[in-house]
Amino acid sequence: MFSMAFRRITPRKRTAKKSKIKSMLIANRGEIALRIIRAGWELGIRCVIASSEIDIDSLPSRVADSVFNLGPGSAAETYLDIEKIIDAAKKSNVEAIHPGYGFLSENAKFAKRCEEEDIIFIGPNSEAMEKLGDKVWGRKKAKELKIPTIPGSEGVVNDVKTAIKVSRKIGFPVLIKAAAGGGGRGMRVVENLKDLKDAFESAQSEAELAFGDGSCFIERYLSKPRHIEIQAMRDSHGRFIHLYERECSIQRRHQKLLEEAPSLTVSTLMRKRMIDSSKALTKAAKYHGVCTVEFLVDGKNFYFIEVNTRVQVEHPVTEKITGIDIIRAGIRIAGKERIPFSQRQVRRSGHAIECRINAEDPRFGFAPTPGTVEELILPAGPGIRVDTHLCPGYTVPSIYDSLIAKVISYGRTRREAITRMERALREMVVRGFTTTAPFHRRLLAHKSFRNGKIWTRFVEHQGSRLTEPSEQEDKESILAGAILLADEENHPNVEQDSEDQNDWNSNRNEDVEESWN
Amino acid sequence: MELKIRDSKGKVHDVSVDFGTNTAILNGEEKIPFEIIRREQGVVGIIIGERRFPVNYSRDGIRINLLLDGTKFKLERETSYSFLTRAKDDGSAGLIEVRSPIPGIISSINTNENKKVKEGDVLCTLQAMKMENEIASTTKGKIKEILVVEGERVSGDQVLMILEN
Repeated sequence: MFSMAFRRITPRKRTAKKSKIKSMLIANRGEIALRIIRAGWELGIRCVIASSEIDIDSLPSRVADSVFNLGPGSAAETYLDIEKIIDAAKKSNVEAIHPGYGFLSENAKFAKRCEEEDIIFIGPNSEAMEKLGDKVWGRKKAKELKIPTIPGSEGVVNDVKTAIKVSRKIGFPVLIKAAAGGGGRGMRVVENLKDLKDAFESAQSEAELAFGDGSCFIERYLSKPRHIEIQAMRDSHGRFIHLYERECSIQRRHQKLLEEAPSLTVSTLMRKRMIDSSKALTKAAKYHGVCTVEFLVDGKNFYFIEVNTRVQVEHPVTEKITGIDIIRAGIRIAGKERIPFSQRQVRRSGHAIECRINAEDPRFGFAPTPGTVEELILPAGPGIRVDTHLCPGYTVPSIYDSLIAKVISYGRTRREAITRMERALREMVVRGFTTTAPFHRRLLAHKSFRNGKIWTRFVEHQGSRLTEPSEQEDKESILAGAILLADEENHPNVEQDSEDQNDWNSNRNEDVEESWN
Repeated sequence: MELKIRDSKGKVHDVSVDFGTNTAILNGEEKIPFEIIRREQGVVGIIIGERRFPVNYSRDGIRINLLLDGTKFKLERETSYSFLTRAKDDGSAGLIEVRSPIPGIISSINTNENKKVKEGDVLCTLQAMKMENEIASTTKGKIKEILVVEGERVSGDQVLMILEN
């Protein structure tokens, strides 16, 4: 306990390698806020967290050096309110702001406001972000640089007539997606001309609602593509380093569920070409910071999709196989430091997998299931890392993202990583609400997954095989239901008679101890 | 103790539970050992065969709500008075409860009392965690009673409407 307190009061003296940035505001919540605090402390940085009222008691807010209360309200009134966050940074007297992922992390206006206020934005400058964050710019630049892109509309499409013309030219099926978007919102797959009008209009209104910009673009829809992304970083002095690729093909409606590194299908040549593309693109935008360049791979072809100008949820799998702390690197690059190692010094070994555990019910289309953690056992041991903000008694709020934990496994081989993940998910107990852990258990046991035969619509294709309980699980549930009902009927006075209940409890506690010996 | 349990697909299973030997038999198959794990707050886990499961158990009349190792199961004890939900299976006249699958806020009600609905008709939408979830009718029938209003916060498994078929 003493060492904890000591570290909090004088963090600088505790670390050998100091960052140029000495204090930062974390404008985020949940597991990523905690992850950033950890990186910050390792660099001797004072970490202030901006927290909405509902998150004040959450783990990152309890752990941070200090907390700035953003007040009550929705995300729009707290984590997404640019001026409120700027004000928080000024009042907390910090040099920098770390936006994490989501919220303001890819908002160029916010990055610009930080520049105006002389606050270091941990990420790229607003100009580079504006360029790379804009899918139209990215596509145009990619073409100039001879990076393959999916056949599609040149620029944004704003009306149905043009949408029809473009779709006819590139051929069905086509994909409509929001120009300003991300995270799958405003995306539609259209199989034929008949459905185009409705799909285009709904994609437009969804994009307008989510991003305030209804512009869309249209491209060829690939039938069995894999999602492969390159983790990269570039410092403000122009040094580019890549940390190999991640495979994120296990998705549900374009939301990633499981990620791994390295990919099973990427050949050395394809990897090299993807890395060269990433290097050229980040150079063209004069980018600095960490970023991810996303591609779709279809057979022997790969196509550039977009650049994420921020840290990603799945960054830990890359940290596992390379040993490089991506969050720390991002902070140091923002402080104008040089990347202190060369590409040749970056080695990868082994295989890592991340399972995103969400408070969702896969049986109801992954609908969110907010609730209170009644019991929590987090897995640990060889090759297991857990990034989470859960603690016993914590209530998952219904107004934010449903990600509650990331379980990351590492092994010398993919097989070992899978075995360790299965062990970790068996060890983990999150009791109180439905989670996606059972979904991951079924996925890890699935033959096609184990053989690496996956693509971006694998989960949809498998359907109830992954989202519904197996026959064995159904059997266990019926047995459990019957046993607990029978048990309740055997002791009918339990709830009515408190005196009885006490006796009963003390009796049963002995039973419990006995059963655990 | 002999019980009949109806699963969410409507199938009825015979279960025999023996507290003397702590074993249970499902549909005449082999005996499976079990153990109930309790702590001060009540039942927290159950061991079935060789596996330990964290569990939340609650009962509402004939309905059994089970949260078994992260998956929610809705079971029913099969008795002579379980006509409410059985009505949709055998086609005879009865009352059917429309329940919310998850907690949230009723963002819109898309039907009226006494209105006829068919299978798949959206009865209302439920907002939870930034997502709109449509609650559709699982059967054809007539709306007998609407028990919630727009904007109302509802809990998981709360009765929202009563349908007559």
